[in-house]
Amino acid sequence: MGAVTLTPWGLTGDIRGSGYSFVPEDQDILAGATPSVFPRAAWEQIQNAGDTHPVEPQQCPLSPPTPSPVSPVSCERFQLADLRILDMQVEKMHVCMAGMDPPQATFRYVVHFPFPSFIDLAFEDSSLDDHGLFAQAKGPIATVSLPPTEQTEQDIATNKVDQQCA
Amino acid sequence: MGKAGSDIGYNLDALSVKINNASIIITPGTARAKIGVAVPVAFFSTRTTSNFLLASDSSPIVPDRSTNGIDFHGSASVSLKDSAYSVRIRPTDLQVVRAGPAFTGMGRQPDSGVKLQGVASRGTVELFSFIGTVLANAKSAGFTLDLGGASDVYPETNYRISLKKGRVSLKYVKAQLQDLYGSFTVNISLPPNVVDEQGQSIELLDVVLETDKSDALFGKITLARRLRMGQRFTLELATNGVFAYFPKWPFETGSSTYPDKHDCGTLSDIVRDPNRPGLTVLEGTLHFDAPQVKTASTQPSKI
Repeated sequence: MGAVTLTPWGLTGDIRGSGYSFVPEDQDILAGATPSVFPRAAWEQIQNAGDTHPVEPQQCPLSPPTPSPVSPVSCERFQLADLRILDMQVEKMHVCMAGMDPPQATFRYVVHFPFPSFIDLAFEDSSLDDHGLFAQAKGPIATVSLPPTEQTEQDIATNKVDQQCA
Repeated sequence: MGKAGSDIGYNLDALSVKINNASIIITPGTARAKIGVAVPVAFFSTRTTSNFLLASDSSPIVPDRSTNGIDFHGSASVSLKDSAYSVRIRPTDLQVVRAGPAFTGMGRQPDSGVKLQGVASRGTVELFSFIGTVLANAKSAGFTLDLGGASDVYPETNYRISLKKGRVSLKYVKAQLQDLYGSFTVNISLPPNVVDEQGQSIELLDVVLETDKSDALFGKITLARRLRMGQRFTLELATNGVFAYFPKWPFETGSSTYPDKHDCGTLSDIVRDPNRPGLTVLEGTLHFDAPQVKTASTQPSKI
């Protein structure tokens, strides 16, 4: 995060997202989420959750099912039609509680577009209102590239060896 | 028993000593006299020329001219160089002068020098008692200031710091302030606009703050409460994730860094300065208590 100073007139400063604010799908958003205290999901987990053919979004019941290792994501909390939100974080937030200004926050989330595109796009939403709702996303901001995993690098190396042998 | 004639003056290193001959009283085994000692202060104070005087009505004198008196008195106020502190010796405070050949050389005793005590101030506020040592070579001096009692200081608008106990040490070597360090145990009352989750104002108890040559009062603080930020956000602070910094203390009217008429633009500019006064949260977790799915409908919102 940035820094928030307790000025004589109230809290003032800037907050930066840590990048670890992914909301697990089994977290009850309706009850109010505290995203940053949850571990970030593995990319494999996200891919498994996102790389499916479009299906009718399944609405989460009020008591979410317990994720299993086989199917870690049972339902979607945030829905944009058939899309899945993979990653959510408050990227930056300006705070000034000393005046009448409400907190100004930029909320960024990564959306996975499933079959046939299989791309991930980032959107920004700075429309925080007095009720704490973000309701006007803008984007895409940038495409998201998955970081190479050790497995991938090993596969590449293996392929090179195979090509040399051939 | 006998009496001598005119006064005698001599130097013990940088100390000027004057013995009133008319006051010399010699008894078997001892000799005592009325002695005055001029103590150089220029090397550790803002004074550039003058000394201050200590006098004893009856101090032991010895043939090698050493002075070992424990009942010197004086009256002086000295601002300590390169610091915000000053020391004052009052006529009723007992001072000690141990100087001369008996206290120098290989057999030099560790408690030699001019031992001072009295009261000390920071700025214009007399907060401390002090003890100090000024070596006769006029090159080294040390002072230890102990907080005299609980005292409130106001280091910034709407902040109150209650000093409970503390000590500041200053050391001068070769006429330079070599070291200044202090530590205080304090209570801090935060500005009323900074509130916890329940909307209550916050007082931090038994916080340790330090000071050094920068003259600021500072320290890492554990604040085991969430701070409310508007209706939806709360800020949970990490352990030792808060840094307190007060460059001016005690606070003097009109010296606030923050303006009386505040707006968010001005405040935001001020808090971007790394030397902004107050408590600053450097690490923590932002909690956002606002469901993004409208609960009036059973259907999730379409963004």
